[in-house]
Amino acid sequence: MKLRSSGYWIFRAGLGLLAMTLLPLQGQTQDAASLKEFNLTRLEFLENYSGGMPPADSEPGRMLTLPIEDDGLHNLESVPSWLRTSFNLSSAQRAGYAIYLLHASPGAAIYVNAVLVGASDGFQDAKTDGWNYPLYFTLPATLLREGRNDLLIKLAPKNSPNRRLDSVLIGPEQPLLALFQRQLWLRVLGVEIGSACVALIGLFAGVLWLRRRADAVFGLFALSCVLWIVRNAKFFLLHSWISRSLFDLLTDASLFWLIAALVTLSFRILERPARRMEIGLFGFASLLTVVMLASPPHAELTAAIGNGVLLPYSAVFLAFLTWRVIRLGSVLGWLLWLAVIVTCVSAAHDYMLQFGWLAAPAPYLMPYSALFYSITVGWLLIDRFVRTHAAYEGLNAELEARLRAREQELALRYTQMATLERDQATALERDRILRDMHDGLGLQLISSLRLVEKHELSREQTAALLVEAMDEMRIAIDSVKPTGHDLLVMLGNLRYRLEPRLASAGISLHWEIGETTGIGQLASHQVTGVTRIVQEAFTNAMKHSRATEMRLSVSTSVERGVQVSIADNGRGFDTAAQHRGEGLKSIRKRAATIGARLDVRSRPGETCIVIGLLSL
Amino acid sequence: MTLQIAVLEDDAVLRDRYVELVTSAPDMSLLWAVGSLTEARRALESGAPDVLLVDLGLPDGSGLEIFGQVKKQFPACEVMVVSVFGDEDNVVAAIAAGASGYLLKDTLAESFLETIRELHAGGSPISPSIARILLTRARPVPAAAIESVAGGPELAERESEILHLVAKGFNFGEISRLLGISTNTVRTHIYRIYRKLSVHSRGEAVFEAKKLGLLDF
Repeated sequence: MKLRSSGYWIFRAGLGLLAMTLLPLQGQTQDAASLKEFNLTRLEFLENYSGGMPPADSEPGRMLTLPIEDDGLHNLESVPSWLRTSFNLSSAQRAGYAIYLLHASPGAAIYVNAVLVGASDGFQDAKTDGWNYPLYFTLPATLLREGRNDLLIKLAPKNSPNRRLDSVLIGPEQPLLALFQRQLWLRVLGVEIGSACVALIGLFAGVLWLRRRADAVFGLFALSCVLWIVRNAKFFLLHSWISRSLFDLLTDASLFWLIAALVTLSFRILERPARRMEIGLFGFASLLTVVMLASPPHAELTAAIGNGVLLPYSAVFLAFLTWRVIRLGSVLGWLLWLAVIVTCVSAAHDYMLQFGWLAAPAPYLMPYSALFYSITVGWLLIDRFVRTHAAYEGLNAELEARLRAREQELALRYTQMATLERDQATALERDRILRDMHDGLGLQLISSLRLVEKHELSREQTAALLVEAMDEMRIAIDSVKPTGHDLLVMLGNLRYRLEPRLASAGISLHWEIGETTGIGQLASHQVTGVTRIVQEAFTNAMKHSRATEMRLSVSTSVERGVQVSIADNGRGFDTAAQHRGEGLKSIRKRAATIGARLDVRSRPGETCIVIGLLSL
Repeated sequence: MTLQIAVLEDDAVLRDRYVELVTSAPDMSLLWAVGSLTEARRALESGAPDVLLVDLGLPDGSGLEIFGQVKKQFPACEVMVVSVFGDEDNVVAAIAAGASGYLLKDTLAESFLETIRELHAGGSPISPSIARILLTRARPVPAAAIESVAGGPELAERESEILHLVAKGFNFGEISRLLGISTNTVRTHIYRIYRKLSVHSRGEAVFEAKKLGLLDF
């Protein structure tokens, strides 16, 4: 919707622009009409004078009416064409007069009353052709006479197909000078400045294409710019380095190349490459150029034939373009359409001008239509830039969003994993504590209960059972504390608790801690297991051994791992006997649970239990 | 001369047990036994105890709150925390607040009285677990320049050595033999370690202990 409306506005703007280019012409004709003090439209062609200035009383020549186009004027390198007319002045009119000539092609020298008042730039130079330059010269008051004044115009002696003279005005300086300046601007300076702009934009496009060969549009545009400048040079270039006829031929031929390039460019802008047609157009342009070069005398005819072929083609192309642009509905499409329409209309205008179908001496318009292509390609560049930038930003934003999402996902997963690990660790730990409570305190309480139920226990015996239960509980509590994995602290706490009881049982305890490197590697259930075995050993010794000394030693070594031994000097027991020693059975069971080697040796006076754990 | 013992314990069963144990001892006499901070503050007006047994979790606050008043009124009074088994962190906090020793609520009768006597004689009890906690909290001397985050006491090399041995289960007798010093010297070291823990800010001990996350009541 938006695109269509912007296309509509470009369409409207195009119509407005066309109207504006035509309006000044209208104005100019009016200006000329009101200005003309003397609009000299009828001139004598002095056919017989091919050399020096004809005398004032020379025989009358052939009468011609402006605008003159060829009309049998001399067309030789060495022969000028003399045109004569006259104007009458009153005495009051003699000061502040000027003469203005339009389209004095290929250059002219002006004589008033047989005195030279001015000439075209490079009038005598064969390589110079100021055909498109308007001429303006002031007329010195001393030169002018009251009454009849003679005016002689000498058209340059050059071999040029453009023998023309469009208008000759004589009048007060100021309005004529303004007219001259406007015409100079429209015909020459404007074209020069426009060509400079096109050159600059074309240079950008060319460099862009050199760096990005894939973008053929910019390469084609650069080529079009070059051709357009060559073509435009015809309108403003006074001095050429090559012969004027070859220059004219090249500028004429460049038009065909330009058309081929512009059509191709249009196809590419619309993203509808038509390779065969493109090749055909360039081929046609080459053919015409070759023919024109091969036969310079027929160059004009060849160009006319080329134009004749290209005209209907342009109509077809324009129809296709319009259809395509309406379908596309993009700003770019409409801008291109505008450029093509402007080119076609101005080309038609210029043809009519060239063939004299337009009464008014209007300037050539086609050089200006290059600017519309520049706008189109400029828009294409801006559009590309904005789109690319937006895409880039979008891509960046998307990347960032993805990155954020990924980060969040990772954080979430990490949290989940951490939670899972913690839950697992907690579950394992809870499991261990529960099992430990059942195996330790629970078992102790059940066996105590059994004993209380079965026997008549004394108060002391019951208290002893409860103390044992409390001991079990303390190991369970110790094992869940941060120091629960530290075997030495666990055994130390056990000793700290039991030593008063051992002392009252008459047992002195020797504590031997050797090399303990790597003891921290034990798992906490192993530490608890070892502690329980040691406690069991102490309890058994207190109950049954009648020992007076006990020794606990802890050491680690690479070969044997952690080794804990408990020895006493009691009466000993039969290690194979099954009938006694719930304690020993319990010790074996615990050792098996924690994967410990157990070595129990006993004889009277020497009992030793060795627990070995390979933890490293 | 008998030891004047005061008891601050809100659990009636435990309190009765302490009272029974104390009154049964020929060398001790019970000064008073109360169950709340308010009562304790009032009771403190009546006279100076030699040893005060304090439970930490009281209905009207923490037992630590009485420490300041006791130390101010009776600097010679030894405060003893009565704690449950496995509550070493709170014991260390109490030591930081000025307690000289601790008793476990389930300590057997003979050990209970013996610990009180030992404390009065200048021997602070220390278990391997408490030694381990003190070691992790203390700043080692060579690195004294570096401010410790925990802000614990600086330990002399010998003190640290003794704590390491305690943490390995050695008793005072063995330590004195291993280090070639007397048992009394070992006791003095432990006593000094306890004082170091509380000396730097006795008034702020409760706050300090709370900040360290040692108190959660």
